[in-house]
Amino acid sequence: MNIIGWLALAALAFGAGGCDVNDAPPLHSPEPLDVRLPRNFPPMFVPVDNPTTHEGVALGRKLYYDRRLSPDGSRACADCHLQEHAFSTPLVPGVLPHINLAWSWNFLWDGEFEGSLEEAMIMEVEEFFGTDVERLREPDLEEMFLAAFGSTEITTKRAAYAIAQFQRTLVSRNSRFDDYVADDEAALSESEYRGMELFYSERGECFHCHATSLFTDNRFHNIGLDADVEGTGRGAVTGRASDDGLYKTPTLRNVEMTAPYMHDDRFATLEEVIDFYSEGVIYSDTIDSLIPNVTGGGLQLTAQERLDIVAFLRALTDPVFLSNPDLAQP
Amino acid sequence: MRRNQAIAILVVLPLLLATGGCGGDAGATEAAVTIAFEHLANDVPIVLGSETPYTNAAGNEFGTTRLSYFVSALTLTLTDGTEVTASGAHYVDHETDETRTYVLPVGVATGDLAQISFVMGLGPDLNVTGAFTSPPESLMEWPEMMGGGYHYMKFEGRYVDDADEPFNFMTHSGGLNGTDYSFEVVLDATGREVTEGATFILEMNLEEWFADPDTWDLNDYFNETHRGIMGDADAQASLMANGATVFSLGAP
Repeated sequence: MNIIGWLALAALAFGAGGCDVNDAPPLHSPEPLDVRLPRNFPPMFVPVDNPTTHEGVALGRKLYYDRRLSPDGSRACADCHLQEHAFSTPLVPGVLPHINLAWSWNFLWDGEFEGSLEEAMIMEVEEFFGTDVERLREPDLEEMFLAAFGSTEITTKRAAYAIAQFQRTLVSRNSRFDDYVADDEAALSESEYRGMELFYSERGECFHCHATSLFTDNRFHNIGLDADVEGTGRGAVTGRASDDGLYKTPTLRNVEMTAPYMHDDRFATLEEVIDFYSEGVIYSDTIDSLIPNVTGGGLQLTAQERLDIVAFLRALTDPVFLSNPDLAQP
Repeated sequence: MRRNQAIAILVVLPLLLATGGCGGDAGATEAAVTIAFEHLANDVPIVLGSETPYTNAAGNEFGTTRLSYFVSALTLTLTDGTEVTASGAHYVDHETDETRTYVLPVGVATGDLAQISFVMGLGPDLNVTGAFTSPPESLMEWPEMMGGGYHYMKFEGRYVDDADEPFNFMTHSGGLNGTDYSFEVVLDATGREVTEGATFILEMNLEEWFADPDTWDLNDYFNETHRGIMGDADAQASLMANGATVFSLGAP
């Protein structure tokens, strides 16, 4: 055999060997999951390295409810994110609901964490929970990791990615408001309809921040809660005085179920929130230019307007989301 | 002879390729052009914040906290009549540097420029709810109850009212209940030349929104009972008229 022959043989051997090692089909092929969205929702970004699959979502859901995520087995995501409260809790201060986070690029009231959903979940797993992967090496979870990722290797990244996949299924889109948008004009009562008109007017001035079908702009605003805002809110993160007193706009979807309200839980009811916007606004230098009548207390709504706007907010409750068995503890 | 032919091919072929030997606009050269957006008040670049350092024609002291807007159908016209239009819209947000430069998505023939024109806002063909699905453009949505589509502009800030108190203003423009208030701006650009990598500066002079022909006393437009102008057809028409003097081209 001449040199060319030897080279050809070596190449064949190398190629065949590479095929065996690198191109072997995975033991399991996760089945893609298409999260269906209404047409008025923005497209959902899904990273190429973490496609949403039935098996990945199942694992993420399992981990979301599983206290083995914390080293001492004391807590799981679901301990502070209860489905009946739209994945928030009235018991722990300042917990934002897990609703439509697939469209968020900053997290927590002050935006302390910015990044993708995957990066946020890695932060949660590695820093908030301090997950010890050894605790996850149990047969039930190993089987689910195998199904989701094609191997039983368990890492904090894989755990976080699975939870991110589950988060992408926490989509709230079935409120009576959504029915109305989908051309069911009878979906809203007269009071709710009046409240919606107020919501989408500059008299009510809600829609600029609680924007789009997500009912949040995912940005930060000082709405006039306090006179002294120095070093608080977003400003505590960025160090910029212009960010003092700014907090993230929470979604209003299922807001009826996410009491108490504001970053510090200062308002117990929706009525208290509307009273604040009506007469309780306090001026400070960084107050948002979208807040009307900043030195006169705020919106100055009539009693009927307050009732109507609260009625509309309650029409944003999504009973399917709150009771969907696919989102419940497995 | 054969050697000479080979040399000729070697010399001519690259020339043909370089000059677009496939036919069409032989000899025409296209340049990448950038529009840079600058925002001024009282002839100085604006600084966003709670202060009220500027003065409008009515004597109101004001400052700005937010400025975002759409321009669309931006068109460059050369002195030889060549016209190039960048279809679609461009979103500008003063707070986001990358939005303040617009590299036109089409090449522009080199030559002497006659004018730059554009639509301030979105014409009816672009101002359709759902046209923008992602932020930041989607956050410019204009409520369906006021006709749908998108804000043309959000120019917000604070002014000192008649009671000497700070009062927020929201100069939000857009199409209202089916009436289009976008308008074409045509700027004389003679003396400027389109060359490869050319940048033209488009200046928005903020106080001009409140003057010429209509002088706006902000106390009349933004007060306890009249919170904003989105639903005010007269105010939208007035902004459209005042807009004629808002833009200018920066020094070449």
